[in-house]
Amino acid sequence: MSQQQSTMASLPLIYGYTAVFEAIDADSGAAVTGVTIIDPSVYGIDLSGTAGDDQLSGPFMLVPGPNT
Amino acid sequence: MSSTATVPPYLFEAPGTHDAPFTFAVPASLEVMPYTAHATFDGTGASGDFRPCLTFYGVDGVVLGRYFPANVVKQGDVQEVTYTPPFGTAAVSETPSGFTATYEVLTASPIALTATGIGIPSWVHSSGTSLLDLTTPTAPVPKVDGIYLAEFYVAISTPPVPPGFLAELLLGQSTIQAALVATWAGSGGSACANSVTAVDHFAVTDTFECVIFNYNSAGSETFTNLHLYVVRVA
Repeated sequence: MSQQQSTMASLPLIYGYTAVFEAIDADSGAAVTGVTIIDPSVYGIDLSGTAGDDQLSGPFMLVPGPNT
Repeated sequence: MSSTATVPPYLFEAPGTHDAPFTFAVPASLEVMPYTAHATFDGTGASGDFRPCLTFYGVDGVVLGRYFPANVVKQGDVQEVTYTPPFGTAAVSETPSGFTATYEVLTASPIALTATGIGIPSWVHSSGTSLLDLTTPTAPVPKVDGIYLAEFYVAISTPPVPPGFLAELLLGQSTIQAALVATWAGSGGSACANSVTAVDHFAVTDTFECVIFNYNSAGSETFTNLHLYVVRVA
C-alpha cells in the first residue's frame, strides 16, 4: 500500500455542507464503482464554539485571588 | 488579565470499511474548519483507475473544492491519502519518480476462417491492470494516453502449417496500420505460432487492431490461443 499526500483548502464548513471521500475517473470525472473507504477522518476546529462544553472558549476574566 | 481564547477541535471519524463515496455532514450549529483529513482507498474491486478525492460540497451540492494527490490509483491498488492545507511541509505532494510500467493480458476465443477469410478477435480482459477500454471488444482503445508496447500472439490449431499457407497479422493505430504489419508464411514446417510486437504512442482515440488474414486458398483454418499483451510505460 502506498502513501500519498494532497493539499486541500482549509475553509469553513457550516451546517448542510459535506466532506466526501470519493473515487472519480481521471478523464471523465464520473464516479468509479467498487472502491471502499477505510477509516475516514476529518480533523478540524469548531469556529462556532459549541462543539464541547468541556473546552475553554473564552474570552473571560480571571479574578486574582487573595495575596497572602 | 484576559485569557487567550481556545478553539475546540472537532473530529469526524468513521472507523471501518465503507463504500465510496463516503460522506461526512457538518452537524447543525457547527462551523468546522478542517485542518487535516485522512482515508485509505481500496481499489481491489474498483471498476477502473481512479483519483482518490476529498470533495467539499455546499448546501445545494455545489462543489466548493476537490482535492487529490498527483497520481492516479490503479485498479486493484490500495492507497492511503492524507490531505493537509498548503503550508509548511504539508505543501509537498509525493510524486512518483522514474518510470512505471503496468500490463494487461487479454484473450479471445478461437477463430475459424474459410479460405481467404478475414477474422478480428473479440478481446476480453484476462489479468493485470485494465488498460484498454473494451466497449467495442474488436477494437479496444487505451483508457489513458501513453506509450504502449503490445504483442499479438496467435497459433494455428492443427500444425504443421500447410504448404502455401500465408497469414498476416495487423496490430496498430487506425491511421498507420501498415507500419505494424507482420506476415507469417508457412512452408510445410512444424511452426504453429506467430506473434507481432509493436511499440508506439497510442492516444485514447486510437484502436488496437488485430486482424488475421487466412491466405491459404487451399482451405479453412482455425486460429487459436489468441492473446494480446499490453504494457503501458509512463
